[in-house]
Amino acid sequence: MVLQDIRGFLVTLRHFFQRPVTIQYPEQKREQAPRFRGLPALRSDPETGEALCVACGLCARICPTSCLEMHVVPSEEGDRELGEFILRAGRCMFCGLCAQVCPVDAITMSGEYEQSVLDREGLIYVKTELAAIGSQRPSWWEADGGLGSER
Amino acid sequence: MTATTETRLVTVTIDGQQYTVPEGLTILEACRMVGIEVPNLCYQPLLRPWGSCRICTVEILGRRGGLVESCAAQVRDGMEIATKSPACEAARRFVLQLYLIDHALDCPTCDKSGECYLQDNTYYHNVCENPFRRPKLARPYKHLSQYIDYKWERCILCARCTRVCDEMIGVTAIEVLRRGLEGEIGSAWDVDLEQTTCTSCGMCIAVCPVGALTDRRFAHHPWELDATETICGFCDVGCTLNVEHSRGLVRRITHLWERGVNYGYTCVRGKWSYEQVQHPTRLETAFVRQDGELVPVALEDALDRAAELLRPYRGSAFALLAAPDRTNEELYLLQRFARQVMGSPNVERLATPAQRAVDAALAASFGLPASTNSVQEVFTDTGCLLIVGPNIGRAAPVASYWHSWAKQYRETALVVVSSDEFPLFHRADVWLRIRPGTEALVLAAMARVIRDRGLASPVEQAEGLEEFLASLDTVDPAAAAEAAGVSLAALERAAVLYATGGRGTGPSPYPPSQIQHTLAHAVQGDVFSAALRANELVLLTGNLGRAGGGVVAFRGPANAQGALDVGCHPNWLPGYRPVTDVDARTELAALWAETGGNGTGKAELPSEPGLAFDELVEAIERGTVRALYVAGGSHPFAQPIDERLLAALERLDVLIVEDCFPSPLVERAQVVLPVAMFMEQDGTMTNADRAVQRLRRAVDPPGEARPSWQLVQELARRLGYRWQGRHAVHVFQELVRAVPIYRGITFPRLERGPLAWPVMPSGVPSRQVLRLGQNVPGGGWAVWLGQGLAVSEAWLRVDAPPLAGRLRFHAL
Repeated sequence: MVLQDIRGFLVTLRHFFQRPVTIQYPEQKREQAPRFRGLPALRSDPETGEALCVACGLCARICPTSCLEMHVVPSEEGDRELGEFILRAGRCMFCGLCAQVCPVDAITMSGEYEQSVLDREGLIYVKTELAAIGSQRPSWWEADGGLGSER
Repeated sequence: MTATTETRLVTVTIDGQQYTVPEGLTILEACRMVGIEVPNLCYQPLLRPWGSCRICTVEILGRRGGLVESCAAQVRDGMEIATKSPACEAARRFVLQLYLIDHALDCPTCDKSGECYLQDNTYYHNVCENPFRRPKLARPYKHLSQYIDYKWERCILCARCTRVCDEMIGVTAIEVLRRGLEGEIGSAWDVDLEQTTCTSCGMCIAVCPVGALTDRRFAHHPWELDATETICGFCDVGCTLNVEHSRGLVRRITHLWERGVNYGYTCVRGKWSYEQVQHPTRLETAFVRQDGELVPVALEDALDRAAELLRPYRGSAFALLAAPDRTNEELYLLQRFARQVMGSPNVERLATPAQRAVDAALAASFGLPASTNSVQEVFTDTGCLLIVGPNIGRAAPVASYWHSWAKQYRETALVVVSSDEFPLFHRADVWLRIRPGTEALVLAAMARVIRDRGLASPVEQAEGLEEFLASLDTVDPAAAAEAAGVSLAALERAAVLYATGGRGTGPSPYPPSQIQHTLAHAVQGDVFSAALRANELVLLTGNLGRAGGGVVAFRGPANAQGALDVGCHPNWLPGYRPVTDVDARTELAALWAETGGNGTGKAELPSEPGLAFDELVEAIERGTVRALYVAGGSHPFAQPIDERLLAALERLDVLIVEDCFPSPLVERAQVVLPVAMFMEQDGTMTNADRAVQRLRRAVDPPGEARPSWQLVQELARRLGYRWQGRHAVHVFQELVRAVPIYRGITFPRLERGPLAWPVMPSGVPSRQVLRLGQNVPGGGWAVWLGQGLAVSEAWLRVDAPPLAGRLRFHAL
């Protein structure tokens, strides 16, 4: 009996000298896997800082839960540009279809996963907020090296 | 529409099936007729075959070099056609690959994506990779005008846009510039289209099979939009519009080819009509005047106030003015409100003097203030078109497309009597560019020339012929030509062309000649006389009651005809029954008591004719009319309101105005009610052809705006009458009972297309439009109503006296 107890504590003792598996969230945060699907976010050109979106609306079209809403306005030179872009994250199911369908990789699945809010209004993200989230880290297309360029 | 010539039939085999089709069709048209879709890019209905896209290639079996362009080749008897054979599929695929060398392939951001012919064909022919590759050429967008953008690398140079501009619109503002790889669409010397002959009708955008010509203000995808088919409310041609909307806003107008009286074509007003309907200055709330200021209030409160104000003024101290751009239902209930609820005979249209003069002239000559024939007959029958009055290219643009088309394809002789400049007029056989206001003189001189040359074959039943012919002696053609500033030879030629149906020489019988006039838009000259002279030319040359003959008067507001039909006239009850007719009054009073009385049994309707417009203005100035209800129709294309009326309004005790835009009327009103426009409500309108057409609600009216019939019904309820229409269809059903000439028209029948009154019973398989004054075989002098009677007397009960005995010449 006693031997069994000692054996058990040996396991504990062994772990006592190992590095901890858990981290001290929220003080510490873990780097997400490159293809982690967090909140969809808008990217801009890393060099010029211009938004990449060409306002084709395919993301809003493909979204299975219709959580994306795109308002398009005609631009000066005759093309179209993004007016307002709204993500109702309460409806988003993080399927990543919007990022896949985007012809210019302007929308990406970010690493953002902290979405607790006190009221539902907080789950509605607009263009500037999504652009701020998107600029935080490179997209998974670039991070995994090649999947993006294959398309 | 009726075809006068017999067509021969040929038998062809298409994809292994035998079909019999009329001779003279192209293979493509024959395939479309039997329901086989042949892919195409440059084919456009109503335009001449062009054969530039090479996508409609089909194979004719058993013939060397059997691949032909189906849009340009005619069917022959015994032809065997394969539309899907491997050879033609391969040929099409090759052509598509060539197109795709330089095509931008920016489909995600292209406005046309989803309805693009090139995209469809690429998918359909399974073109997934292109052996012909090189770096694509690119050019920036070119702004052709404030409406139109051109993107070169999307363009396939099919020339649909330039053909429609040249052959249909008749202005030739854009052309294919340069050749080969340099080829592009643009205006001469690349100037802004607004400085050219361009009318900004947007038809080039509408026909572009790819996204090369685009609407500058449109940035949506077709799949995001819902479509509603409705009728344009900006002129009385009555074009069918396909209103595409999303999120409660109209985004664009598209075109239902080969539908409606306009076959899908629209003008600048129709194409961009939604900008007016959704204009930021639209009235959205009701206003009530308090201490001299208009204060916005809830609609209910405004209606309460209006009812309270109107209550003391029952009887002839009340008058109602209705703008004729409202629907039939609205106008019907407005006049019913005046006659039944307010007990006043004073119902008049808010029209310009010229519009009223044209109506009066039609009534004086033909007994009814209606066009005798249909514009559509220029497609099949008309030999000569006489166009009179201010610029028809601005007043009734889509009608001018048909003139252009008829000149181009049917070689219809075109005679224009107009002081205004329009590109189409330069193509006319004779353009009498007269001094403004001399139309009456010139038309009288033409009548004299016709009489003197023995070309007259007057309608025998018309009264006053002798006096008229004698009175022509007072007109001297040479002096008239001098006064009008045209040459005598041109005037004589115009008269001869009109009298001989465009032939100019030869023995009778001649082809029919039609007069289309826009005299209702004239601002000077004696419009009544001019319109009367036009009618007399019709009577003098026997062009009445013939297909392709008669007179068509464009009167401006969208429902100018319907307003008269439903009784917005001081002398006529609904259906042109005189106010003095006891039976008509009793019948109408019974109908109205049944469908919404005040519970006191049958009320008497006013038995005296009401005040005509000018008398009404005088009565307001004198103070005998104290209260006025105006159903205004202010919109950017509306005619200005009579200055004298506006000045007189100050003398009124009560002025209630319903309107869609701020206007001089609104500024003077005690109560302002916001009203819905044509895209925002259901109902019917009657166009210049007498064709009743269905309006559908595409978007909600702004704010608290309501259709006028709802507003006036609420007012009637507040004044103790139990009106109970819940939808425009209920009002229309009642309207048909009150207006005999509308019998047989129902909303379900209108779903199938326009119905010109008087209509055939629904069992009769005929698309034929009855013509006023038509000669029915075996019936002697005939009568449009008589024809209706011959079909089904019991069903189509007719109350109005026939046209015979009402035709009249008026001596000069």
